[in-house]
Amino acid sequence: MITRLSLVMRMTVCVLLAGAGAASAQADYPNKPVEIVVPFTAGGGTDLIARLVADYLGKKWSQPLLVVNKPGGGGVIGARAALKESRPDGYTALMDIHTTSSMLMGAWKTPPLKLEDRKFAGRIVRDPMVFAVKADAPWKTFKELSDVVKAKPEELVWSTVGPAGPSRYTAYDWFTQIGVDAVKTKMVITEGAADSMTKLAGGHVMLAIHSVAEAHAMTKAGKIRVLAVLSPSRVKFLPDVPTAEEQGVIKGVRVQWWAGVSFPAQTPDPIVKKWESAIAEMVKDPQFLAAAERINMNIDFLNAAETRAFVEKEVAGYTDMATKIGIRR
Amino acid sequence: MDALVALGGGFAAALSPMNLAMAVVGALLGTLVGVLPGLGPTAAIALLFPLTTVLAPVPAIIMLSGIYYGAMYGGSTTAILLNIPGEVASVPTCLDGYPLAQQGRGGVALGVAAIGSFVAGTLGVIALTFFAPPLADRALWFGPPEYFGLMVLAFTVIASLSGGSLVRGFAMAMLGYFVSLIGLGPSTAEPRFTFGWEPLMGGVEFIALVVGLFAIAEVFLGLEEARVAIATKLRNVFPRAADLRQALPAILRGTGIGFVLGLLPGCAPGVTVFLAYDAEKKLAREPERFGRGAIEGVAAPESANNATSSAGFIPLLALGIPASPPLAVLLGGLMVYGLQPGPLLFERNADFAWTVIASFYVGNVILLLLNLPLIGMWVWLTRIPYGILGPVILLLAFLGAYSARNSMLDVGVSLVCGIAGYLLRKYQWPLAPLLLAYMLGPLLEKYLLQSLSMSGGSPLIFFQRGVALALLLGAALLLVLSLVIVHYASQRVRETTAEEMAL
Amino acid sequence: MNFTASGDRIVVGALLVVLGTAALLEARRLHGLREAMVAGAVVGDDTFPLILGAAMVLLGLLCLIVRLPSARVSVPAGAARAQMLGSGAVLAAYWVILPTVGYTLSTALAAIALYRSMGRYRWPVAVAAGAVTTVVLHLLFRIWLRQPLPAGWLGI
Repeated sequence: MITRLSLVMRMTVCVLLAGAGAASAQADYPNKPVEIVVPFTAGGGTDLIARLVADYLGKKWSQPLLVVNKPGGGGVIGARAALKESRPDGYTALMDIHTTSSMLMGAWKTPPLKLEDRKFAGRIVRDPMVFAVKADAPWKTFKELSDVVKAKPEELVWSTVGPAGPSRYTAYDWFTQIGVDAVKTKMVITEGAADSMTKLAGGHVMLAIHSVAEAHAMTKAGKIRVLAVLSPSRVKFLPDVPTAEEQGVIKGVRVQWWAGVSFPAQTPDPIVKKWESAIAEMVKDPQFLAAAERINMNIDFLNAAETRAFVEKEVAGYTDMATKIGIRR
Repeated sequence: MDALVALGGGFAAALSPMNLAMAVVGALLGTLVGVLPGLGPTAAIALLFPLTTVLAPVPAIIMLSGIYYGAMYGGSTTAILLNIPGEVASVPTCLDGYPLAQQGRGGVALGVAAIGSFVAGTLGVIALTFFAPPLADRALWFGPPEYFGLMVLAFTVIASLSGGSLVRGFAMAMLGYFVSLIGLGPSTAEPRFTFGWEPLMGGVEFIALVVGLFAIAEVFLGLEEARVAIATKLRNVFPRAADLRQALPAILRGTGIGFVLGLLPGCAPGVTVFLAYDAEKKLAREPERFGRGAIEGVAAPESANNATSSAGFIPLLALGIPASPPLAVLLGGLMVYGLQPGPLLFERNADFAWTVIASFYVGNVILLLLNLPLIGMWVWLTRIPYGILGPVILLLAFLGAYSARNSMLDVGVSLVCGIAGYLLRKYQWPLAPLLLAYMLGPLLEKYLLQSLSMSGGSPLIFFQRGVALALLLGAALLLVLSLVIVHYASQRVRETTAEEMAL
Repeated sequence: MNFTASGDRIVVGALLVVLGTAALLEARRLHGLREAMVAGAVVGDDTFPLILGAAMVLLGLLCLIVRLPSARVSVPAGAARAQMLGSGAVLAAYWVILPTVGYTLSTALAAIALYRSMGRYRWPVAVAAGAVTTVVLHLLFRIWLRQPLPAGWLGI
């Protein structure tokens, strides 16, 4: 009978709350579970950071934050579901990344989602990209792999998270620089880094290009090997892995991985502000930083205004890059 | 024994007070709706599914499992007390259950059905604990071509869901695939069949589709059949020792038949119940008792039904292939909560998966504890007049379809699906293949595209890889096998009900 | 009235042919877009519609040509037909008025109309039952599921 009693009590409380009126709806935010949409499969970088954030803010606000994976269409399906097809009441957030924002706008002349469709609350992570192969692959260095691909481009099967994803930008930059016709290689579109890494570990594709954090679990499990990191200098989580530039293959760093939180454009400002300040506090908390360190996630915070400026700059950069490497349409 | 530890963790999660409460609420609601004479188990699950969406995934799935078991049990109740098989799997239960009810022993029949369900459910959980980990270990073997093979294997399930006529089954499956195409494409997110209209880009909502096809259509069918309840007296709910002695061997045999066949991907309970009933009749010393209220005649098919469903969780969770229409709706529910059944399930969502397994077991036990004492109430519920029931179901379906995405478009879709579902059901076009194809279509497409990208467009890739080839051969074999058993089962359905019924 | 149906086969067959053709046309449109987006890719969003469209057209033609074992179908008559059409009309009307009239009033009206048409209850009974149903659904959807339902111009 406890159940029925508590249900009745809950209903009574709810009726009272409903009576208290909508005016306080924003002041006591969140008063019910918040959904964080991850537009990729569980286990990828977007998913990992979303779960860290959900865990931290969920405890802070004593309301569950639910991570919901909605993969497909290179992240567009989930991002649209969060930004365009949900209620702008602050109870649906998007774990927004380059693939669903700047790179999308760079690759499409009429993108299925625009920057104006969202309000950023802040950027949380910035991470370099890495080139990874299966643990027992014959190529010891990135240079070696590049030479093989140069000789026989049609044998390269590589995975990406969508036509506008960081893997594709990075790979095409690489192909352009080593003089390989990208059209000859075989690109497999997956539903996110976790999906792509599983295919790499199972030997179904030869090369996967993802962020440092995304490569972490499979590297640690001994299933894959990182050949190069795309960064101006070596990264602290992978001290033994040389940079692509160091190996004389790719000059410059034009692609990087980042993740932030955004909301539908009509979401009330006080709610977005609340998220912004909560994230700002979170990224200073040693406990949160330790948790991020455990999964090799490089925390690098930008506030809402800085994030927007950063993404706008990226849009210009990726538009230019997409035009040059021939993936803009 | 990592699996046992993991299962222990699952039980710990499923037994937390909040989750236990959800299991109880789910089992009660499921039985409540399943017992209503107008609604079979599939419709009951479809109708109640929107109510779970407010919860966090774990309690939601636990509630869903309660609803599933409750609805299945509710289906048996109407079969025994009202002689209305909500689904083909309940047809043999009617044969002896209803005569028992007329003799005032309906309670005993219901009790035996609940116990049979419990035994079968227990076996299912034990088997899952041992089957899942070895499969999960081999998950990395499964690349796109292997998954494609799996999807083809799932496609052959359509044969056993199509009620005898393959052409009808495949036609419905094609429509299901077509509906699944609407929305954004999987590789370049290109809008398909949206005619530039934004609301269609999100695709057709699962809840709107099932609520329309199953719940709304069912009300129209119910109106037409003018279903009326009979007054039954329940003298004794708890089976006597003599009843149990008589029923136990039948329960075990039914469980055995149902379980072994249920392990085959795509073997529907509608098939195994007849095999179990016929086996009992052949083994019996006085076969003439059957059809006049033999307790074994209830025990065997009920156990087989539940054993097939429980065993069906193995292909469902491990391969993503549902064996029966209620399991197909359940699969949709799991997918909505971000659980993608398949070999990778135990690697990616291990905690969640074990919690689901544990909660299905908990749901089963709760049902046993709850239903024996509450049978009187369920009987009372079956007497609610259709004039009250119909409007309530229609309003619930209407608002349920709206609640999925707050969209009036979804409600419109589900009203149209209601009319289409009514007409299709009436003209014997099976709906389960449509639902299955709608759910598995995006996966089939994804794996097809990935495989062909890997091979540079050559379909030979499906035949050059051992596991993929084995799956395709298995699919062909299964197709033949299920055609044979389906032929047998639909003949039996025709003999017993003198009408066609979709398996 | 009972009769053995065969028209359903023609309708479904024709539907398959029409939808299959639509899928083929859509595949052609998508093919052009894919060439622009992912030059050189061997498959894309158009591949599956192409295969499905072809299969649908073939199966549709098969349905049109081959006789299937046909079902015995009874056409609803009398009270059942009136109830069915009535409840369908009520649902359609409910769908039309819900966004403008608002959840509370439209649900009460729909419930009363359904009790009248499906249950044949007298007006006082139907109104009372409709009111109770509206309150219960309000508790279920607005309070438990916290579902924002359209309030309409009355604000309820």
